[in-house]
Amino acid sequence: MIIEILFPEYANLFGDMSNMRYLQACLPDATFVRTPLTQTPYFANHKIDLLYMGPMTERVQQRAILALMPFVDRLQHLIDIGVPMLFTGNAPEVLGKQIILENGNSVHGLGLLDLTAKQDLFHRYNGLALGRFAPIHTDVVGFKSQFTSAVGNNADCPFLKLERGIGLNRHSRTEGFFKNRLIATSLLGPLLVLNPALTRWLLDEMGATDKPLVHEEALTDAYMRRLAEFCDPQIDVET
Amino acid sequence: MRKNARFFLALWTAKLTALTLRLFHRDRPHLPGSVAAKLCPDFLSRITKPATVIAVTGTNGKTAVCRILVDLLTADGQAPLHNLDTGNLQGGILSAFLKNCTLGGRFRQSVAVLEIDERSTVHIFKCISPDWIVITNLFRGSFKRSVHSEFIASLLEKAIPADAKLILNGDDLIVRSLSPANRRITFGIAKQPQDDRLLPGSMCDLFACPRCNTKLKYEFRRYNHIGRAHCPNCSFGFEPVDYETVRVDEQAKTVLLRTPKGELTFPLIGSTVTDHYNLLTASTVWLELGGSPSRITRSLPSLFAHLTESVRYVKGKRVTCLLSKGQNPTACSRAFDQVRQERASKAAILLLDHLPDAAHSSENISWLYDTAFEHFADNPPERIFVIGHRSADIRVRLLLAGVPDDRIRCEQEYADYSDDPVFLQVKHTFILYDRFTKDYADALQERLVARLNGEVTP
Repeated sequence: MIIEILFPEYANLFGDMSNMRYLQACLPDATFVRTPLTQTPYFANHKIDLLYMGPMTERVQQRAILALMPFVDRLQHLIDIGVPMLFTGNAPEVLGKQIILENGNSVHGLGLLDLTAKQDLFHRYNGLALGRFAPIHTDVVGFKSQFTSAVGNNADCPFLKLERGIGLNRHSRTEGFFKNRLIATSLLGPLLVLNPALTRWLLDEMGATDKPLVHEEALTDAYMRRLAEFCDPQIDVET
Repeated sequence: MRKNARFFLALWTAKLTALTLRLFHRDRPHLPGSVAAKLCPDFLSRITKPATVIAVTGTNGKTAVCRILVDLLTADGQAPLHNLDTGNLQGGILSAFLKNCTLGGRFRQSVAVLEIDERSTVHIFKCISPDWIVITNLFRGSFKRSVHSEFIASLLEKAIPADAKLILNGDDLIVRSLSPANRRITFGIAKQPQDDRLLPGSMCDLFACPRCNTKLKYEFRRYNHIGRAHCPNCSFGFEPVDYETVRVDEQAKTVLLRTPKGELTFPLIGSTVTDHYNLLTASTVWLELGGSPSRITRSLPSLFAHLTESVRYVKGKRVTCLLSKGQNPTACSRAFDQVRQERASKAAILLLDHLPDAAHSSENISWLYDTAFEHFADNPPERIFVIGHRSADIRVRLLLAGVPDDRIRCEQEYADYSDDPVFLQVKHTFILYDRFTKDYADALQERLVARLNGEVTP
């Protein structure tokens, strides 16, 4: 099993690299390929079982787009054939149509998602999100902490239908994108640590049905407590 | 900008507000500043400033450095204007000015020492042009505000006035790269024996050269990106500093400091890297202001209060309260490393809740995964107590860090757990607290001390 992590030296903000550290604990025999920004992605010429990219600085987003643009057709093909992928934080914006910068200029994204992100570096949205992931009929919890709001169309392919929190923007009730096995979400967590059922689903989709979740009892206990908090109508969704 | 009628209306109304708050014993230190800002939005630009303004900013150490400087100046007969009890955002700065100025908007003090939140520098430096700007370090901080060091560095680049003299941490290449055209003084700590103990895989906010993107080569990395590095491809990298702690001698209990005017030796106080940097930063500022080295030596006993740890010794055992600012991965990692380095038998109590978030919402715990809990797995404590609302999450983090589950005890409630037998068995108990859990930590330290003294029977 081969898991590729794109640009780990940069795309490692907000603790999200622990998505992959947790997966590594669950899949001790898997090979984790860490592709730096200056190298050709492994997926360009090889079969992979999961592709991951985490959140990065706004400046690195632009470099990531440039680095991946030569391989956009290959990425589209991998999405189409259902290779599992996870893009978290502001990584999905790289896959989108464009990013409108603070100064009004815009940067073309890879165009793989119907998503346009607009930066506002003086207003950061911080909040929590709770939504239903349809394939497993289970609630997923996470956090948002971002400079951008987005417009786009994820009506027929949302990652989550939200019960609490905001989706692409303050008026949206659908969060992220779910296409075949691509999950592209702005949620932080780390998502796979906060949501053991989601991780179980991902491992099964990758073909690792026989691999147990490491520390499942502790993860589930923390998840249930958090779910109860998020469901409490008294708590503030925006923090 | 000159004072006008609107300014004086705002000044007098704010002073009346402050008087009213005092009369009714209401603790709202920001309110007078908020009132002044509402009535006169450019109030801070119009008020006459003290002759010398020193601004201290950065991710960690701002408060400690300011407190040390205030102590030194006060002991030297130059009690400065400061904002240590009003806060480091714009409202707090305003309130500090209002508290100290006359009805005519003037100051008795000739020096101001201002702790300034990094994000707020963009607005505040437009109104107050500091003579000196001290930048302690820049790390990824609170996700809500500081976000990541690149963001804060970009704000500071816009904010720093061209004529301000900078005092910069030379061991932090992000800080050192700021505003290259400004006059600057740098400080740093030379490589020390304990600098070889960094855990593999520790977080680093400066992996590659910001000029040419080549991977940096670190001669040593003290923690995060603090250390000495250079780019193998271009000229970017560490340059010799003006003030350098050459040697921290824990046997002789001395610190050898190299300055542009020669070497100085001070008694060593504090045992953490954080304390060494805070004292070095404040000493650099003091000496650059023309302060005497002997003032530093004479003031050292009073500076104990500003250390990040407070230790109580009881019958051959120790109970240490150690500040571990929550939602601050670097600050907590430093504190956890302090625990790791204790080779005697030990226990640790973690009080890391962000209580304001706990009161109204659910804390974003992503920061736990930027924090080096792996320090607890290397030479683990006999027992780690995790107390508070997020105890289940911290237990997960500890488990994923490699700490055995049988060493972890989780408690949701802030109750008295000092009766656990482990505290009598170990030589050293660490209480790691966030600024919102300090009262509980202090009370717990007292109870543990009483128990160790045999004053309390289980």
